[in-house]
Amino acid sequence: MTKLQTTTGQVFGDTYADAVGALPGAQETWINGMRKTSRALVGAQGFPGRKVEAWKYTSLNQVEKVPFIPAAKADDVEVSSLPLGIPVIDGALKMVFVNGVYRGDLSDSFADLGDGVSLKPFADVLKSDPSALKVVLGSSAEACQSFTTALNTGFMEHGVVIHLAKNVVLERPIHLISIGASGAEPGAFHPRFSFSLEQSSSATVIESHSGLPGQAYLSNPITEILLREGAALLHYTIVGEDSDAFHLGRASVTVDKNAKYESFILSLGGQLVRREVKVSLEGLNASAIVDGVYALSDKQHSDITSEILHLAPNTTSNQVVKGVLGGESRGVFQGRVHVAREAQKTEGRQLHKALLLNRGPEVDCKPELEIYADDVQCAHGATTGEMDQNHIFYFLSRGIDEETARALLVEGFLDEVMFNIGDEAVRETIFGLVSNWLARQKIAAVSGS
Amino acid sequence: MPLIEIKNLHVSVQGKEILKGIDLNMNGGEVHAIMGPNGTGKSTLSYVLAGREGYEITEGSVLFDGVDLLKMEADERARAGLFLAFQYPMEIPGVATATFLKTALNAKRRAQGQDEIDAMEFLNLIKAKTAELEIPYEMIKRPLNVGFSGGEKKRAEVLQMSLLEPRVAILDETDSGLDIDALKVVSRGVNSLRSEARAFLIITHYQRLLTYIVPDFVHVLVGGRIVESGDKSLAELLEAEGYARFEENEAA
Amino acid sequence: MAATQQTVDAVREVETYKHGWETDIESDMAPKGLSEDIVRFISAKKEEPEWMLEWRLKAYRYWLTLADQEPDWAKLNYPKIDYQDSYYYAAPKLGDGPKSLDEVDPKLRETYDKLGIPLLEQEMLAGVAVDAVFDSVSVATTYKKKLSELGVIFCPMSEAIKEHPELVQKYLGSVVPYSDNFFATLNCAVFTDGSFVYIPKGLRCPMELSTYFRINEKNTGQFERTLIIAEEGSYVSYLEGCTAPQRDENQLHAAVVELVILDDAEIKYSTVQNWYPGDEDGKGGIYNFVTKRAACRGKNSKVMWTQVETGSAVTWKYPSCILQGDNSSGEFYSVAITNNRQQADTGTKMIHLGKNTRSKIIAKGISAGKSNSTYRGLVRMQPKADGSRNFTQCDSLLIGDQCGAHTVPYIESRNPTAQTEHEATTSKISDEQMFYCQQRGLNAEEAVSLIVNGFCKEVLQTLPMEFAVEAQKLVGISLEGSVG
Repeated sequence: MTKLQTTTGQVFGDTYADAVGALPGAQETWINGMRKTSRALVGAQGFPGRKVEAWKYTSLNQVEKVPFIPAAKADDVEVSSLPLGIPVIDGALKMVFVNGVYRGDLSDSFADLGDGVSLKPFADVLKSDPSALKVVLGSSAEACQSFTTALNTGFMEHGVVIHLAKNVVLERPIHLISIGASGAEPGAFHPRFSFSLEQSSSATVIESHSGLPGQAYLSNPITEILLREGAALLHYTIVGEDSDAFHLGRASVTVDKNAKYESFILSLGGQLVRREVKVSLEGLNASAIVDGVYALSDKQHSDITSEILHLAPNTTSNQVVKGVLGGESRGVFQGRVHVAREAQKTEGRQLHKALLLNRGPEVDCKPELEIYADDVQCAHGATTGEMDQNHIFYFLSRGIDEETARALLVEGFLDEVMFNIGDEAVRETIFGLVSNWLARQKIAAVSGS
Repeated sequence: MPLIEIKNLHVSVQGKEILKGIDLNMNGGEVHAIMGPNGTGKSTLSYVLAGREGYEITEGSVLFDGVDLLKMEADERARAGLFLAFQYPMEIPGVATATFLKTALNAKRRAQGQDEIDAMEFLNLIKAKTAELEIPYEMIKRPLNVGFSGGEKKRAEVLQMSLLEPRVAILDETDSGLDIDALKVVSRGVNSLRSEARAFLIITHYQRLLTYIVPDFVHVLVGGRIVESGDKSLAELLEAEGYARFEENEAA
Repeated sequence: MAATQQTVDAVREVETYKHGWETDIESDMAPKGLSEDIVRFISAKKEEPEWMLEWRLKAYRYWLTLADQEPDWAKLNYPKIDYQDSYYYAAPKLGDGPKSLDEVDPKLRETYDKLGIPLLEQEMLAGVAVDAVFDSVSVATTYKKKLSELGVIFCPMSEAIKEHPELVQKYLGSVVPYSDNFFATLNCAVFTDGSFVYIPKGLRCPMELSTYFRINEKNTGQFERTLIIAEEGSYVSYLEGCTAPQRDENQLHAAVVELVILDDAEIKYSTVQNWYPGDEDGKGGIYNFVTKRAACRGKNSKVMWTQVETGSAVTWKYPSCILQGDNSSGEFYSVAITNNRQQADTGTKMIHLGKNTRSKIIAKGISAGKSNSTYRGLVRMQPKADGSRNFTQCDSLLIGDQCGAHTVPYIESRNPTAQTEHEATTSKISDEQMFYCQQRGLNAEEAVSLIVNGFCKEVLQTLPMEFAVEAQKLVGISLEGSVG
């Protein structure tokens, strides 16, 4: 049995590696190969530290030190103890995964979604029809293009595979709820969510990632999205992991001609959260919105890293990410906008703004433009700082106390992005989560402290 | 020989024919006005004469002082004395208006075998011209057209025209966006440049400008053709009746 | 005035890259390759004291441990450099050295004339003293007497090591230590010369100090070392400019510049870099790996870097500011033009340590041909940098669809009362702008030159007058052939 070796030793214990042989789909050479290549890569390179440019601001050294075991055996986990309960999005169809494993007993029925909609647990497809995964999983090389994906691919087993046929409009949003819960030992799980939307179909998908207090867990979800010509997807990701938990997640999106990908990430942290999103605008007039908000406190570390690749002419991307940092937290935003030589008439805009609420937090930001076509309009902006003292003074002069003034200003700062969330129910939920977060913070004055 | 001689000019843009056979002669000392509804090819005509790229000349010819204008590059035409006052003058960040004017003037002087203008001489010239056109002298220190109001941009165009002393001046919708005072100033500038050696082609949608710059000839451009020509009274008629009857003819 | 005009005329005459010739002067060279013996040879040749040799050797030995740590994070592509295939010392033979300008080798003088820096007329070029560096040894110094009366020391580094060891020992390596980075460490071991400037307390240096660099010998690694110290309340403006002769082999250059700025002092450092960029296919050209750093050590210390980078095949350069003293400020103005196959990865670092420190970054990148230009810059607000501010504006202009323009800022803040602001845009010269200029009689190249100069104006206007004129011409020259 292959052990996962890194420069500093084993990634996970022997038990972890042993479990791998039993994963479904092992009989398929290409799946086996993909898993092996990925594990070999992770083993050879180890968990990236700050010397690796892409991980400069988010070192996984502390994750590497945790002796994780596979977090299967999830049936007996009691999820009602989830501090904030299972998040509810009005009208959405729930699919619950505990430690990455699909839990029918906690989920809504998805039997009658109508013609042209197929929704299957990933493990079932791996067992019964693995070749159906070829398109969404891509090649081994693709599986290894990021550490996050490689780590998942090496151990992928559970998740969901969703397919929408041509012209199908899925009315009800699908809400994937991932809950992490470790037993006596820290557990890791690697769910795989896959969506293919055929020509002119459309859907709304929400991912919620949370977990139970106790031993640290590592959630390593990968979402693969394929949007065919004219398809449209609203994709929302809400991360609010337990304060001891690690989250290494990635969405990889391919957008064909005239298709639209619209997304929003809310990160309320964990111990360490990294959300990666890669969007390839491959067809003429493809477009993407990749917005986000992070709100952090205590010693949380949250990283949003995006790559937007303009690979065809007339493609458009827009990104606004805002962060609020309290406690001794650390927020990271990295955003690369790449415009290929043939992607003329591209428009790419990116903005990152961070607000530091007190002494203690650190924000690191690396927006990046990489442009190889001349007839483009690309711009990015980034700011860091505190609230405008003049604004606070204005509130005070109207008789509003300082703490309220600050809370209102922070909310206003974030609202600007959150207002752009297309789905109303999701918008409500996200506003609620952010309000709750704000209510838990003490947003006191910075100056003079 | 006419200064400008346009014969059976056909022009297409991306395969669509915009000008469908224009014939027009202009002699020194004449002011011609071209009027017509929006989208009939007025601006196309001005751009084709000035040599902008993206226009395909499918038929016809244009002679400028007997020379084939269409074979010349845009900058050669300019140096030969053809001036276009743009409907939307371009903003060029960082380049002071004065620097631009001097560069353009020297380009022309070099082409004519003259020495570059002396710094003091240029300064005096520009002071006189700006005063004449009621342009605040400060304006020429600002980057070209950047942050200029609509009126300032048009005045700056006339200032350039006055400085470069073209033989043929084309004014493309110079009246658009101007209030009555600015219109008067601009018109006075143009009128002061009228001379026997110079021809003007004034492109406009409204008759308003023509009460200040009185044309010798008025042409109506509809559907890519000059459908009627006359004297200044034609402009007044159009103002009263609109273009409807020409458009009906065109449709028929 | 006449001299300035002559400079202008000389530069105008340069149509493409006219600075590509070789001066035939017999050189005094060290054998090829790098070893402790070479380091000792250089030190001996320079008649250096023991402490200097020890420092060089310490650096050399450290460099050996960095063998696999040549920086690779920049967006640059060049074949692996064989450091043993280069010469590390070359000096033009000058006998005992010139006592006055008249004694300078006529051939050298001719070279400078072609470059548009007529040495004979330097004295007439009001306010500029020139410490001309030909290859690695200074050959002419003017205004030295006048400056020394004021207490200013402006001399070759080799001379300073002998004449002012206390200052050199105190400050050399204090801003860029021998262990700083691969290229800087190499420089510490093998630097041959450079400029040393010391401005005494309270003096506003009445003239601009200027050094023109030339690389002449084949395969000569050029390792300049410059140190400028501005004592309390002093001010100096320093100009650095360079051109290089045409070559087929790539030439390595790894310079280090250290600026020390004390309370209320200010240094303005301007560079026009016009080294041989290689031919249209990317053959030849200089490899330019430069470490420049300013330490604003005192209260209200101020530094301003201005650079116009039009030359070199490969540029790796990040003039930085350590804003340590309260209320100190750093500014970085940059124009980087790449054409043909040139590659530039350049920017700055602004490290805010003290309270109320200020930084401003204005970077303009212009890419043409098949070149690539990258802005890479770091702004860091440390926990004690209360009330500090940064403003960054990066604009890129692409000319043609075969080049690349990239912007990679790193923004790190650990102080809530500090503010950073970064903006970047990428665009091209619009067809409408080109047509507008052409309609006014400018040909395509004049139009591009004018528009690009406008695009760069905010940077060019920070240059001293003589440089600004030259730089504007260079902008046009560098982009020749970029529009069809």
